[in-house]
Amino acid sequence: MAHRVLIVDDALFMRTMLRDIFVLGGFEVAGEASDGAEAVRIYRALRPDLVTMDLVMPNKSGIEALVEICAEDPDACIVMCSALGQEDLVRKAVQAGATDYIVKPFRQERVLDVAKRALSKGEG
Amino acid sequence: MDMSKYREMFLSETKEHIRNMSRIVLDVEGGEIDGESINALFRATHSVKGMAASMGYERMEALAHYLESALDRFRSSDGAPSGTADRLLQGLDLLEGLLSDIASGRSERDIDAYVGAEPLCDSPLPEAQPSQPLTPPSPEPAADSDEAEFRFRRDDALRTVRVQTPVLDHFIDLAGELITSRYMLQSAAEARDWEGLQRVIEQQGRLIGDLHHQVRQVRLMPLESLTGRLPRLVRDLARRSGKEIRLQIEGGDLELDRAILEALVDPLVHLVRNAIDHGIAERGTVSVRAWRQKDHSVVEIADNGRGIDTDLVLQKALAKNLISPSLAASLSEREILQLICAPGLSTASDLTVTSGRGVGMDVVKSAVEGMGGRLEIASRKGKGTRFRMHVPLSAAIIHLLLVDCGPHRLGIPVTRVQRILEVPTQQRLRRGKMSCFVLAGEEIPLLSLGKILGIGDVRAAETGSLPVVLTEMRGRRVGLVVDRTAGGRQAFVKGLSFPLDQLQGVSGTTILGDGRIVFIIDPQSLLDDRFSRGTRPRLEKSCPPAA
Repeated sequence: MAHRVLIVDDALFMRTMLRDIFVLGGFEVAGEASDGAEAVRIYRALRPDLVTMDLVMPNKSGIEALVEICAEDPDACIVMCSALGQEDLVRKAVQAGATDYIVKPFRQERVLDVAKRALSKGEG
Repeated sequence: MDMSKYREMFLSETKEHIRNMSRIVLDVEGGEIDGESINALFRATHSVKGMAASMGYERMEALAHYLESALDRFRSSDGAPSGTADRLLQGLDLLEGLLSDIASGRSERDIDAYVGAEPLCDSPLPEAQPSQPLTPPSPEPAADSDEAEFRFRRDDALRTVRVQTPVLDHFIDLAGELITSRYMLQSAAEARDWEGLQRVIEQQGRLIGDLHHQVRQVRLMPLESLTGRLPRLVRDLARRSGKEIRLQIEGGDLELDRAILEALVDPLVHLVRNAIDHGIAERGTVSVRAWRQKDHSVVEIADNGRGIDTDLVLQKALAKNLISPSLAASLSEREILQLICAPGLSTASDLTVTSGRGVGMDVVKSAVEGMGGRLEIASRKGKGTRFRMHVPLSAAIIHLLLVDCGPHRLGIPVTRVQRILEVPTQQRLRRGKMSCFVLAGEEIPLLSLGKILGIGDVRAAETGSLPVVLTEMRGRRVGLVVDRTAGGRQAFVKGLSFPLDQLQGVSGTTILGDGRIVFIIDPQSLLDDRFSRGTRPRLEKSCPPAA
């Protein structure tokens, strides 16, 4: 069965792009969230196999959301999405429980590689 | 991967971010840029950077990155140094410029001058930066290519709407039902089932009404989409003129048809600019308010400045031969104010300087009337001036009163009709060449619509009364005499194209159920050459308007 992914990004543009990448890669997009607070809510409701989480968002940042989700579900598989120049934040996120990270701009192969690797880590 | 399909989304989302950012900067201007604002600005630049990078727009990415890093440094230090707002706004302008380059397929403009200039961050900027002199630049005679206004006008957000998919589904449902009802009509007609036919026609009327309603809903946009850009315009204009202007906006949530909003852009710019350049002497308030009133909307632009000197307006109008001395004596305050919209007067530069009004007022008036609205002017010397644009809810479909004039059936927008009366012929009074009648103590001139249009005089005298449509021309109540009134109807208005659009007093056409073409009469412009002689041809030949 296809893996179910939750896409979290405040930009519709980014969500749409990621959705297309995942659908082409054979994933099922279970849901989308546009800020950290929404991400936590939707995660709780959908329990997806994988989350792509933007770092910089209004209401609740990606790291805050990550921390909350991991507290509820230590097995959560969360890949952070960052831009260049946010290495500090990425490091913090990985320490807080992020499985992996992708650097924007997104490249299809890279996104799918990281996603698959993250899922296999979770299963292994 | 193919990025072209994300382009539209990129353009609209980036545009929204840029707009939000300038709103934030303008909101805090004067005050400190606080932490939350800096965070919001940071997030927005960050989003723009990510999107631009994904799309491969390098300069936009570089500029967004530059702004983002500066904002990031403000976050970790004690807020933004003075002068930041200006630099940020310049940066946002540049970002907007890049966006329009991208939107129109040009290569991205150069950003080195901005990025390479005095850094946005690090040490606080000294007060007297060459880029923003403390003394306001001398007020330039406003050119039409003015940057601030250009920026205001160029926004093309009105050309796109977001439609929720359930609404589209509803459209499809309605279309489906209309198709079904068409077949029902066909079979009822074939079976000569007149009752059935009647039923289906009624049902179809409801469906069409529903469709019209839905389309109108989709076309609605909040006035905010226009007024949201005013703070920036006002700021730039105030700077340029060296005045202290406070802007108040109320009613931005009023929803208007897109076409109406589009048509409001120019009048709004003109009126706001006039208020700042001419109405207000040194400091004052410009208020923009909007509300719904019965079947139309009102957008008001008011200032608490000098007001209009009606004596001066009258003098000028006489000096320029726009009105006769006898007419001048009979004009009310309200009518005199309307004179500032006369083309000959409004370009009089001396008037502009001394009494403080008039640039492009003819443009404002014709724009408002062109969309089937009217302009109301009120002013008190020393107190201020108030312009109210009464605009219809929908541009394309209006209610018409049908009237007959000789062989012609004509339409008059009901928004222009105050009353319909039958005036007994013996109540008609002669006043020189004119005739008039008395209504509630007021002498109202009677004009023959047929004569004005040059399509023949009224022959109705034999019935002993004249059908009169009471309307307003240039702030003055008049009765238009017609052969008969022929009921009302909703009509889809088609504009006229050259040379028919030159016809005086005709604002468009519509087609009746029987295929007849009906000209739509615009009472406001029927007698336009009272002030601007003979610039527009009439339907046929010129006739004196007396009834």
